Formats: sequence, C-alpha cells, structure tokens
Amino acid sequence: MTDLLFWFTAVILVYLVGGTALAVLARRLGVRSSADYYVAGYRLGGFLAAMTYAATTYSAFMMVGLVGLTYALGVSALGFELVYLLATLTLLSTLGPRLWAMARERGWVSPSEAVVDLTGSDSLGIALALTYLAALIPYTSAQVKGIGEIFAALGPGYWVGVAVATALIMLWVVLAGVWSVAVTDAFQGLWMIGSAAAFIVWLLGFSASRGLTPAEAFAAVDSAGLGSIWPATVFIGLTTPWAFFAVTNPQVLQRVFMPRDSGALKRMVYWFGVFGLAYTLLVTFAGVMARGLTASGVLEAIKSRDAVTPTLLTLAPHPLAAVVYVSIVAAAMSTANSIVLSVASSFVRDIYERRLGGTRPILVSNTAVAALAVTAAAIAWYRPSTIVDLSVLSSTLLLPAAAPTIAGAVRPGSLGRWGLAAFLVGEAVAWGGFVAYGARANTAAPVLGLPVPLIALIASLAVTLAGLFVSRGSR
Amino acid sequence: MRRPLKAYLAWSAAVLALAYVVPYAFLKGALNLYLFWALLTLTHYVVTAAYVKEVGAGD
Repeated sequence: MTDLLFWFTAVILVYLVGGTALAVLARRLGVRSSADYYVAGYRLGGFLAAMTYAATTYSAFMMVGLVGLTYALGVSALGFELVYLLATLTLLSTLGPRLWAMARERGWVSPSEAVVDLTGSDSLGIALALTYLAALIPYTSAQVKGIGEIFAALGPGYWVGVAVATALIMLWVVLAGVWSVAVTDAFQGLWMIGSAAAFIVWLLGFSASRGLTPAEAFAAVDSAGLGSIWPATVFIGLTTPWAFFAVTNPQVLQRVFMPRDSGALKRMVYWFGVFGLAYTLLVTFAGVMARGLTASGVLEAIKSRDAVTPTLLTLAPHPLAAVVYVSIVAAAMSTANSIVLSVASSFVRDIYERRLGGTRPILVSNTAVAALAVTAAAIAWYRPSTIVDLSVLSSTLLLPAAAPTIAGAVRPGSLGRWGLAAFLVGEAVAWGGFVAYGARANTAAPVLGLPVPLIALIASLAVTLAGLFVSRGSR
Repeated sequence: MRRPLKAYLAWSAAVLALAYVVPYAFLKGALNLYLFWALLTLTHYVVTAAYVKEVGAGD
C-alpha cells in the first residue's frame, strides 16, 4: 500500500463513518409522509438549508473541472461560474420567497408538481419528469464515474469507487430521506470549503518556496494568451443555461420549499452566497497558480484539463491530498444523492400518490431511489460516450423550463397548454442541438451567431409571452 | 410591483449586464478580470443581503 493510498483509506473511512453517523442521527427527526421524506416537512433550519443548497449545487466539477478550465482557458472560467452566482442570488431573493410561500400554501413536494401548479399544465409535469430522467441520470452517472476514477487512480479500483458511491447514495437517502441528505450535505459542504481553503494555503506556501507569487501567476495566464474574456458565443453559450439553474434544476428548485420560516429562508440566501463566492474564488485561484507553476517550470504543461488538480496534488503532503480527494468524492456524492431524491419525488409524488392514489409513499420512494441509483451506477460502469455528452448538456436540456416557471411564479396558472408548448419548443431546439453537435451544442452557433442554449431560451420565452398575451386577452 | 423589488431587479439586471459587457469593452488581463468579477459579485452579494434583510424572503 502506498503512503497516499494509506492516507486516502484513512480519510475516506472518517468521511464514511462521520457521514453515516449523521445520517443515522437524522432519523430522529421523523419521516412519516412524502412531505417529510422529500422536503423535510418544511422544517429545515437556515444553515442546513444553505449548506444543502450549496453542496447540491457545487459538484465535483468545481475542484476538478473548474480548476482545469481556468488552467486551460483562463480566468473567464471565474466569470462563467460567477454569472451563475449573480443570477442565482437574484432569483433566490426575488422568486424564492414567492415559491417558498406557495409551497406551504399548496403543499408542493416535488418540483414538477410545483411547475404544474404554477403553469396550470398537467402535461408539463409528465414532460418535465421524463426530461429530468434524460438529463439528470446521466449527470448523476458522471458524478459516480468521477468517484470511480478517483478510486482507480489511487489504487482500490474503478468498480470499488462505483460500488461505494452507489451504496452511499442509497444509504444516505434511505435512512431519513432529505433529512439525512441535508445533514450529510452540511457535513460535506464544510469538508469541501475547508479542504479548498487548506489546499490554497498550502499552494501559496509551496509556490512561494519556488519563487512564484500570485501576481506572477496571473501574469503567466496573460503570457499564455489567456488574459481576455472568451469569444462571446462561447461565454454566452456556457453561461445562459447556468444563469437559470435555480429554477430549472429540480434538486435546487425543491430546496427553496424547505426552510422552516422566512428567517431560515433569509439565512439560506446569506450563507449560500458566502459559500458560493468563497468556493468559486478558491478553486479558480488554484487554476491560476497551476498555470504559474507551469510557466515557472515547476510543473510540466498539463494536457488534460481534468488532470490539473491531480497533478497539483502529487506535490502536496499526502494527508492534505487525501483530504482534497475525499472533498471531491463529497462534492460528487452530495450532488448525486440530491438529484436521485429529487427525480424520485417527481415520479412518486406526481404519479404514485396523486394519479394512482398510492398510500405507501416511503416504501415506494426508497424503491425508486434504489432503482435510480443502480441505473446511474450501471451507466457509470459501462461509460458510454453519449452519457458524457448528455451530462455536459444537462443544464441546456432543462433550460426550456425557465420561462414558463418564472412566468408561472409571477402569474400562477395563467399559461395552461402554452406552458407545455413553450417547454416543448425549447426542448426541440436543445435536443436538435444535441443531435447536431453533441457535447459542443452549448457553444455551437447555428443561427445568426446565437449559441444553441440562447436560441432554446428565446424560443421558449417567445411562446411563453404569447401564452401570457392570449391568457390576458381571454380574461 | 413594490418599489424595492423594482429597484432590486433593476440593480440585478445592471450587474448582470456589467458582468458581460465590461470585460469585452474595457478589460484585459487575467488579474483585472479576476478582480472585476470578484468585486462585482461581492457588491451584488452585499446589496442582495441588504435587500433580503429589509424586504425580501417572504415578508
């Protein structure tokens, strides 16, 4: 056993035991109904709400993908991620209170149930549930695959990582539904931000010992020709789907229902903002420093973006490297189990309880969660290339829900069939882009220089506005 | 629509517009871009926190 594998094994055992102990403790909070299971009975405290929102949002992409993106393509990666945060703070502060209040009044549990209520279109709920499956199970598989690759790189093997991830997704959900997910998310969120801060402190010290200052690292980014913002098509194409993430992705939309009172909702916004800004600045700064270390000859040029963080970690003390690797596992886990829970809620609540009149929602929910987790693991095991493309495009495939959802929040029930039409028109554009360009659909600009996500948004917005106009006329 | 909400929405729209426009129109250099986006987001966070404290979040 290598020294790094020893430390990784020790640290991940601490993570597994600590997280499972918290999940077991969460059972005391009581889960008797689907509202308890999926939205914590609308009783989540502000700090827990903020941490589960943050840990669900920020996946393994941050510590691996965003560090690599900054290294390879410059600090526009920071702009890309902060546009998401700017838009999300606005959406949480304006639509958030309205959605939070309506969730309690109308008893919303699943995100598709909310969108059906907001738009007045039953069919949109079914279309959304199917789109969640198509877009988010591949995204979950990508998280499981990432955990498998960490285990493969460090020694235990890919299948061990996939098996551990799948077992944990099921265990930490089944123990107490969203209660166990929220407390483990808080644990994992603190691990993510703490390890990122420790990583940067070490990186600054290491770089200084090699004679590299942060100013020189930023200058190295400029010298590599990466000192300007990306071309507009690329920047707009990548940021557009993420700007509306808060209202299109079920796992975060559902989290707005959960705070126990308006004070908890406020604290959710405060702490999520602090977490998001700090975490984003830390991980992009790591990418800048890595570029500086390459320019100063400490590191060789790193060809694969996903190899930047692992390459930096080869230089770090093994205990720190193990803590950071486990933080990547935590980021992937906290995103994966929240998605599985949210997607399950759309089927259990909307179909089993409301359409079929089912009376055993907890049993059926646990079964649905297990089925979704095993499906995601099976996909991760076979690693088909289409899954990677679909996970990259997941936010674009969900983007057409933005306009009808926002319009429905402003004028509830006014869209009716126009809500479904708006969603389907946008989906036609998004899927058309996927078929034509695959993973490059986000930055391809087939019409008037507009990227595919922006076309999808404009198309669904146009139909939504037409629906609002017609409904106003008919009243 | 209440006046504070209108003002906050106008502010947010301006901030988002600046996040896109300023780097194309005026800014070059990794450090300048990094500081610009970081400070813009920090400012928006402070304004958002003040808005939420005074009028937002279900009150």
